[in-house]
Amino acid sequence: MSETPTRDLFPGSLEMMILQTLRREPMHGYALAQTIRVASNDLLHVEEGTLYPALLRMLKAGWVSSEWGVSARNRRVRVYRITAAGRKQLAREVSAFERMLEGFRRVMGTAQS
Amino acid sequence: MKRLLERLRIRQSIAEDLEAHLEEKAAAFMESGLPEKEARLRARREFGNATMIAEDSRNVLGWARLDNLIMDLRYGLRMLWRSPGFTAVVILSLALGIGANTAIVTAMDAMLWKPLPVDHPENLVRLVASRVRRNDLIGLPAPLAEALNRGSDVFEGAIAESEDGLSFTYDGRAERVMGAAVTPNFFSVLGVRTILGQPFTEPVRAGQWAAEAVLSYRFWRSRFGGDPSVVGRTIHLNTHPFTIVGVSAASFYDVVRGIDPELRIPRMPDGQSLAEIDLIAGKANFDWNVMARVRPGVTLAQASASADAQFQDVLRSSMDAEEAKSLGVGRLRALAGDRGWPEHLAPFATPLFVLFGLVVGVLMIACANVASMLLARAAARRRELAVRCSVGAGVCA
Repeated sequence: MSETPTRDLFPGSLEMMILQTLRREPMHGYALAQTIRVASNDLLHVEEGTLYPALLRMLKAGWVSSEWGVSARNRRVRVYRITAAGRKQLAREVSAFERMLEGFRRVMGTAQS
Repeated sequence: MKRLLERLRIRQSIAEDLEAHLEEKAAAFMESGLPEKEARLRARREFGNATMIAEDSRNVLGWARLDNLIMDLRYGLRMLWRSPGFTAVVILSLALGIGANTAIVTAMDAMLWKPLPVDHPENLVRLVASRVRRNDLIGLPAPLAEALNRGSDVFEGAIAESEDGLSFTYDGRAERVMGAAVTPNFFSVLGVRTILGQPFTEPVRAGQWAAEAVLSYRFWRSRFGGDPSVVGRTIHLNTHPFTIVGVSAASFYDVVRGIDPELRIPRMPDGQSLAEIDLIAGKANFDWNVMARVRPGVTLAQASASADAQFQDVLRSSMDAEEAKSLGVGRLRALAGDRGWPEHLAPFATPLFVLFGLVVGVLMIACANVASMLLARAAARRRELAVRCSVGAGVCA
């Protein structure tokens, strides 16, 4: 999922990042990849080979919808938009993730002391 | 439904979407100062295998199997088109194998399996008499059919038929034909229609004999050239004049498989006879194929029991006990009659099955040949497949 040598992200993280990014504004695939890259301060590179299957999975699940729009460079592109179900899913995922992180932190903290 | 349409639309636009993505990417590189050609190259390199991405994305939406199948089929057709010689050899050898099988199975069906070309053949039973230590007796006395034809809870009607060679004279030309003597209700019980005229006139069907003949379709075509004005003409059978009253339907041959009598004439009522044609005499001779139509739902056992009772009556009334005893006939049995009497064709059944085995063998050999040819081709294509894989073809497990 990344070009710089990093570990794999946990499952579902890409979907979370996509939903989070789309929550701010609808955008097309390329802009989505760019936004995630910039927002992660160049730490995460989303490959197209992962991005598009993920987007379509989410389309199928009904978390995002899509329609034809125009890119910043004035090109006809498919613009993805988060749906109400997508927002709900994101909230669920984030709270689950936070619980997991909390648990992880505690375990690491206990081991340290 | 709406969502399905939406998905179909998206499926179709994925490639377009990816293309737009690629262009955006190239444009971004150009904005950062790369020359156009290099920017495009780099965008494509980073992007990876666009076809695979499109494929993976489409598969997310489902129909992966169908997609793959369609692609495999298209690929297969393309490969066949590219080597017409190979394709021709494969098609030819399979066609020969399949054609031979079709021919034999068609022949077997026509000879052994196809029901009689009559109305509701499934309701027909043919009657045979069992004998002590001998084969079943197929020839029965015609009065049995008349007795069964009087109607009952079990039987709707019954017919009797017997064939013999007759001398047929028309237009001053004589020839040998096969004639069938039939009970006058033959056509109505079987539900065989005539394409010209009628299946015997009303008085004959009511039991009053007259010298009438119904031609078979094929004899009408071959001897009378399909002349539509043939009804009413006079022919001579064994020098006795008969009037043509009808032509039977083209599909009908007989209730006995393997024969197609040229014409049918009515059997005479009991006691009457014609000097010229002994075949139609109203006697109780054991020369008649007897077939009955049972009411719907009647089983063969019921039909057997009912017919046997009538048979014993006929035996008692039409011949003396001594004669009946000398014949050695026992009980009457009803057999399924939907395929008529197969005895004429029985000798051909075994050769036909042998032939069938042979053509199946030929088809197997053809298949094996085609398989080995495909194998040889696959071996020869190793290089091509290696190239396809290294340029990024999807790999099936």
